[in-house]
Amino acid sequence: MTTHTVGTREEWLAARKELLEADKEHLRRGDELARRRQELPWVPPEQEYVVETADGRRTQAGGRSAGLALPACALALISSG
Amino acid sequence: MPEHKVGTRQEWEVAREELLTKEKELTRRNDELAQERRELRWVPVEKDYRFETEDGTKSLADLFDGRSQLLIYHFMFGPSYEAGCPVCSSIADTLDPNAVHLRARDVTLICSSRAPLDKLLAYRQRMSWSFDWVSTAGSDFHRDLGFVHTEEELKPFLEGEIPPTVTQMAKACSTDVVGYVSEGPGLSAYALSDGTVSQTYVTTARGLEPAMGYYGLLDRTPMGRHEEGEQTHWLRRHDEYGKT
Repeated sequence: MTTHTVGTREEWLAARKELLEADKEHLRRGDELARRRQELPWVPPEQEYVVETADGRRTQAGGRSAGLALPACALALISSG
Repeated sequence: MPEHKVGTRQEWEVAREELLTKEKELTRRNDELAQERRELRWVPVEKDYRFETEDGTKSLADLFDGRSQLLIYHFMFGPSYEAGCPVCSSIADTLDPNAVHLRARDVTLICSSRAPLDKLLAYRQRMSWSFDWVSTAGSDFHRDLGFVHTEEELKPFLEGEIPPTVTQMAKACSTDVVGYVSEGPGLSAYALSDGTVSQTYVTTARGLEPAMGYYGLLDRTPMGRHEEGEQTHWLRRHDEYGKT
């Protein structure tokens, strides 16, 4: 086991409360980055990629969402894969 | 689909690069917080809690099952529930397949609830999970951790306007609002060292998000979680999607 300090429940609680503030701040920062991710521009695909699926060959639109522009993150995944 | 900007691949790459720097900062901050979590003092557990398990009555030390670390998910399944909380059930969907990987790192992961063991095991079978689930029926374990509330403590909440999601979840568990909110969700961690069990970490609420795998994934989709303004919760048990 790693070295550690032993304390009372009260000591633990006081330290945990302090950490909780830092945890919450971190969560909110995560929320903010999720929002920024959603604000990334969408990039219309320059060519039509065809993928092999369990249901045969499909294009990206492939019967799913009819949006013209794929989210760019998906585009990056498909084109690098 | 949400309002969005359309751009060229180059524009996207520039914005993505900028975001990546911030994501890396967040990851490093996460590492720091994990370190701080591990630096919290260990608090020896002095009470001799008893748990009902498939292999009979056990102590907290027994639950480590030969490993040195124990993670317990406090699953909202109170004595009056007929089925487990749908949100906790979605968490258990994330936990269940991860138990095997945690064992490889000397961590035993189990769930505990206050309902009688037979109810828990029947529900576990329905949901096709295989983690160990223990009942704390008759023990103060959940109460001492702050995951059980008395009607007296709940009074201010119960006298106010009950959020529709709470009524929805209570109904999904075939219990009433008081029965439902008497339970609270949580995650607690323990170490077993030189025969002593110590509590090392406890969290609840959004601190449980690492055990909600779908949120991290939704945070990377174009629409995100988009829960704002929704009157009822979108989550269902995994065998209940598509049902009314």
